[in-house]
Formats: sequence, C-alpha cells, structure tokens
Amino acid sequence: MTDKTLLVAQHIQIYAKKIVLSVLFFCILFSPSPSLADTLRLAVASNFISPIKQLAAKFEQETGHSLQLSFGSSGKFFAQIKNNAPYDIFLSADLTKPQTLIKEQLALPDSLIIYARGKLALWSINPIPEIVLKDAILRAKRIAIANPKLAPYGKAAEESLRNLPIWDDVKNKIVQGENIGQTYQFVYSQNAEIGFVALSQVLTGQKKGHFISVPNKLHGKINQAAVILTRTHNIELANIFMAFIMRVDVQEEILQFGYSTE
Amino acid sequence: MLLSPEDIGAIWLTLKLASLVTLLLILISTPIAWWLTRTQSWLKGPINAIVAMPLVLPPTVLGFYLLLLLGPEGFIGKLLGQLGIAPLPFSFTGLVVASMVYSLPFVVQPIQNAFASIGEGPLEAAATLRASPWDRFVHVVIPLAKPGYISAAILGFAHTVGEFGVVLMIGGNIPNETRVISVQIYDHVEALEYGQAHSLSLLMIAFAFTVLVFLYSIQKRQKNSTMSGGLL
Repeated sequence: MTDKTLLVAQHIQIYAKKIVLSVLFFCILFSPSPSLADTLRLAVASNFISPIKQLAAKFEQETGHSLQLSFGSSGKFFAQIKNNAPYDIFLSADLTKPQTLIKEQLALPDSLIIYARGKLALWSINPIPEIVLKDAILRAKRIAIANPKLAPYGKAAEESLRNLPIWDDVKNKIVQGENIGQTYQFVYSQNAEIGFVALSQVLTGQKKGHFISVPNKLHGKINQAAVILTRTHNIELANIFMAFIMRVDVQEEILQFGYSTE
Repeated sequence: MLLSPEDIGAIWLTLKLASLVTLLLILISTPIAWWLTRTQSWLKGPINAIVAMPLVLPPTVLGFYLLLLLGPEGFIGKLLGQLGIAPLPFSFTGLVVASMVYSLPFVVQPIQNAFASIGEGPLEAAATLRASPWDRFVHVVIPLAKPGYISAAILGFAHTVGEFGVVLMIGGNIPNETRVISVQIYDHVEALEYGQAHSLSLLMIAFAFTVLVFLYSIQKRQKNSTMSGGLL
C-alpha cells in the first residue's frame, strides 16, 4: 500500500465514523421514548366526545402519557373489537355491549365501570310554546329520536313516550336518526321541530336553542359503561386511566357536561 | 334465508325508489346530454362539472346539504313551503329527489357518450331527406343511442339501489317510507343481528353481480366501448 492509498483509507474511515455517529444522533433525537411515556387507544361513544377531549388533556398533563381517541357509535366499535381492533379501552354508550364483551372474554371482567349516566332532553331551535313536556311533544308535527333499537338515548326516548303515555298519539310523527348525532342534525336543520337528544349535546352544541329536561323516572337508566379490553398492550396504564375517570373531581367535571348523578 | 316482513318492506321500497328515479332521470338526462353534446357554449365545462360532482363528493356532503337546503329553513324548503308543499326530508318524495341528484352522472354520462358517438353523418343524411329536427331526434338519434340508454338505465337503477349515505342522512328511517335496504342492513349490523344482515347483504351481492354480468354481456355484444360512458 502506498502512502496515498493509506491516506484515502483513513479519510474514508473518519467519514464513515462521522456518518454512523450522526445517524445514531438523529435516531436518538427522533425516536419516541417508550419507557417514559405511552399511548392508550380509546374507543369512545360519540355522545362523550366533548367531555373526553377535555379530560384527555387533563390526563395527559397529569401523567405525561398520551391518549389516542377514536369516536363512533358503540355498535360499530363492538363489531370492530370482535374483529381484533387495537383499542385498549372501550367507553360505550350503554351497559350491554361492555357486558357482552366480558362474557366473550374480549374484555377484563373486573374492569367494568359506569363512567357516566346519560340525561335526556327535549330540544328545539325555536322556543317551545308549552312548558309541560307532554303538551310540547303533542304539539309538534315531527319528533326526532335516535333509533331505539341501536341507541340507548333512543330507547330512553321511546320509553318516555310510552310512560307519558302518548306513544300511540305520536308514533306516526317520529323520525329516527341512526344515533343521537344524526337526531341532533334533524333538529338543528329544523326538519324536525323537536327531538330527544342527550342533554350533553344541548349544552356543548353549536346552537343553543331551547330545551326541557326529561325526568329520569320516565325511562330506564342510561348507564354508560367502560371496560379494558383483553388485548390491551398496557394494562397498568389502562388501570390508571380507569381510576382517573372515576375520581371524584373528574366525575364532577363530567356532570357539568350534562350527565346525571343517579 | 331469514327475511323478516321489515326486510321485505325495505326491498319493495328500494325497488320502487330505484325504478321511479331511473325513469325520471332518463327523462331529464336526455335534454341535458343532448345539449352537452351539441353546445359550443362556455357553460359546457361548468355544467359538465356539476353533473359529475356526485361522483366525487362523499354522500355525507350531499346528504348534509340536502337536509339543510330542503328543510323548512333552507332555500329550496322555503320556496316549496310558499307553494304549500311540505318539507321533503323524511318522505319518499325527498328520497326520490335526493337519489336523482346522487345518480345523475350515472345516467347523463352514458347517454351523452352515446349521442357523441353518433356523429354528424346520420343527422345530415336525415336532414337532406327533409326530416324535421324533432323527427331527426326521435327517429335517428334515439334509436342509435339505444345501447347508451340501456347502460344509463342499468347504472342509474343499480346505483340508486346501492345508495346509503344520502338516504341515511335525510331519510329518517321510517318503515315503508324511507327505510331502504342499505339502511336496513346498517341497522341489522349495528344491532348485532348478523344473521339478518347476512341474508340481505348476500341478496345485494347477488343483485350487483347479476347486473354487472348483464351490463358487460350487452357491452360485448354491441362492441361499443362508449356505451357505458366510461364508468365501467
């Protein structure tokens, strides 16, 4: 080997070292640090969008972990979870779906909690001429409810109408949204004069309108249950989240979004 | 097969809707397609674009705007209200109007392509035989464009049957009035009634397959590549 080739070889070595070092540096700079912070994936029923957004920010600030939120109808999430959707926690709009998931060993039996209790409201964009719930409903030409077969709020609306009892008087005036989001849209666009939606939607929605609260005694409880899914990748963090959402101060925050205590 | 009375109601309603929409669309698409084929106007581009828009827009956009426009506070809804016509959402008429918007390109485009492929020759020949413009259109253009009309009818019908997003948005899910097959299937799936969902879905798959096989077979026979309007 001549001096010249030796010199070239040395140069190459130095450059190679530099390249390897800088690659390493960038890898460290941009790699997530898994040991310090983790991400929980949450499947959240649509009616809980506003509260969970606020609570997620709080949780992330307190723990340093992050939450990845997916929104949709509980029925869709149920089907996805049965087909191995990669969620850690399921916040359903009802109690039956989480219970069924436990029965099918797709969710952890001890993890079931009731994180919120829904409140039903009769909502309208224009002022409601009658103060009495029954009269207000009877006066309307179109009444929007969520599909009673699919949505717990729709089921509660039907039960309320049956218990008033004015179901037979109004059943031909009912239009169904596939969920309360769509029911809200029907009233929002004024295609239906009144509609049964979640009080939480009325309080957080764009248009204020007017509403009458539907007494809880008119319908069965709208228990919204959450479970940790068996295929969770971080059970400890999932448990921390479940404890967080049941904490007294957090529960009080949830109530302010239009949920019930009983 | 486990088909409930509600399922059968939904099937009938869907067939009724698709037949009516196809018929109406063929009637209104003929002048639109003819104008688009013959015109030199600068409006040709924009009108072509408007006709094709439902191909590009998500059904939620169409459904949401139809709900707002046709509602009692919407532009069209108010106009209809002044004429004493009830708001269209949640009614069969509303579904017909919405489906016509949604399926418009599937009917206009095959007819338009069929018209274009006729060319000037036959029309000029008919003109020298002193056929009036109306005669030329009815006795020359329409028969020559027949394959285009068949494609348009099949595509318009099939697309209306398969419609989901728009009818979900403005339908209101009323049995025998607005609850069509696609919405019924959606209900079954969401309610975890997978058996019933399967029965109806398999019917839809069989229907789609038959329609497409039929469409391709007439296409092959006619050896006319323009007849399906480039949609298939």
